Amino acid sequence: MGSYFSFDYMIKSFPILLSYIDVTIIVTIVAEIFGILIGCVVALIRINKIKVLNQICFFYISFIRGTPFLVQLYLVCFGLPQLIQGFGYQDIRSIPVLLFVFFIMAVHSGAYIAEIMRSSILAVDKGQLEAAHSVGMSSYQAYIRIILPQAFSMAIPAIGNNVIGTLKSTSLIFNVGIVDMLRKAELMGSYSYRHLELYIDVAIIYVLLCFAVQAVTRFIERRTILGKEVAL
Amino acid sequence: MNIIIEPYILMEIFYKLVRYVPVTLAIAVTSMLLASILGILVMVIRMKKVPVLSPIADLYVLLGRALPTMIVLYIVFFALPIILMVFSESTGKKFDFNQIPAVTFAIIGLTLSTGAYLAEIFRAAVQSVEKGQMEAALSIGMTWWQGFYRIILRQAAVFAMPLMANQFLNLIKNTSIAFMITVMELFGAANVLSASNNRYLEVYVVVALLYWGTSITFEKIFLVIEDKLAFFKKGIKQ
Repeated sequence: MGSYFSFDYMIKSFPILLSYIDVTIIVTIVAEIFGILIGCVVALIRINKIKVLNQICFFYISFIRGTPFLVQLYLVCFGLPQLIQGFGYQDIRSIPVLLFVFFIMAVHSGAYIAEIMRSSILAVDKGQLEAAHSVGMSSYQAYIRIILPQAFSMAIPAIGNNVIGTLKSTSLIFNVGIVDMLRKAELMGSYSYRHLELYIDVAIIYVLLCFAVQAVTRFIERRTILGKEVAL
Repeated sequence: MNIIIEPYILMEIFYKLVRYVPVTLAIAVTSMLLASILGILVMVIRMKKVPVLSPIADLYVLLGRALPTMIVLYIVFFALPIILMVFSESTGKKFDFNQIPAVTFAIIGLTLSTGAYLAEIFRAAVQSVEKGQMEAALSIGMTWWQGFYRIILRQAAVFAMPLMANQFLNLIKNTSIAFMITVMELFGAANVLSASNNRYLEVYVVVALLYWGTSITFEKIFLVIEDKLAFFKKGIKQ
């Protein structure tokens, strides 16, 4: 089976692929941060049922959760430049693709986080908001200082899960021109024809990244129990 | 400002693409059925702690949930022909693996990827049934398998139904990744079409609406099914 599969090649190409991991990590972190911001705003809009925005947010969440991420990616990275060009801005080649990728990944995870935050904000005791109002805080202050921190500490496991989902979505962005591990694996495979070894390397890297995210999530969880009594 | 989207073009694209929706659904349904069987098997192996297979099953569930679907599909696409080549070399049987359609690899890859999630879902569902049910079944003389099939599985199915529905909707969305291993399903057809007529925005808008419509339709179908099954649900009921 020597010429079919070589461990040698697998080990040799592992560091080469590992060096492209920075794109994946940066895209995941930026997407999650902006996704959490978008998600909190959308969750608050949905909870307070603001007139027009509530319907828009409902369709936004339904659209993002109903369509595949790949379709959304292509829609934004190939369709949006055409739209912008139609509006008259001719110089679309100067916009880096990474910008579109950040945008769509933040929008994508924002919809899922909106649902998570909506349920965790609703789980915070109603008395907290009333108490905050009674001390003279405005709604904005009450949300930022009292309610959102409590909602966050409840949402951390679900958000950790969402980070792993975003990490898995970054495996698709090489299709629109981002040079990350998968694009490098494709390039290396096309001249060495040893695709399987390369993709097993990439799989190992993704499993390690998932473990890292899980460990960080567990660490954050333990640090933010906020004095709650746990049954264990 | 140029005309950005023309309605006539949208209808034309819609008619060209809607023929591929059954292909996507066929891949999704086949994968779901096979993954359910695989999920039940893996769950039983893990619960009964079969000596050799149980760690393999644990590893499978771990990997199946950690790896992106695309990586699983690529590995299946490249590994299976190699395994078949080795098999045909060592046993001397000629097996023409160039004839295998790519959709087979897609179904196998999606089955493996979804089976891991379903194994966890079934595990949670079976653990939600009270322990006393199995003990009662064993005490009146049923074998473990009879008790499992007649008593536990039926109660667990009610619990698992919403989670399986969610997984099926995810599977429909994951079939769009199969276009990377040259399967001509809805998204692959959209890519070919948009490359030929250069109207990226219209084509991807139509494809997104098709997927959205399919998801909403299946959501409503699953709500009806869950309503029918709610008759069997235990718990605080009015």
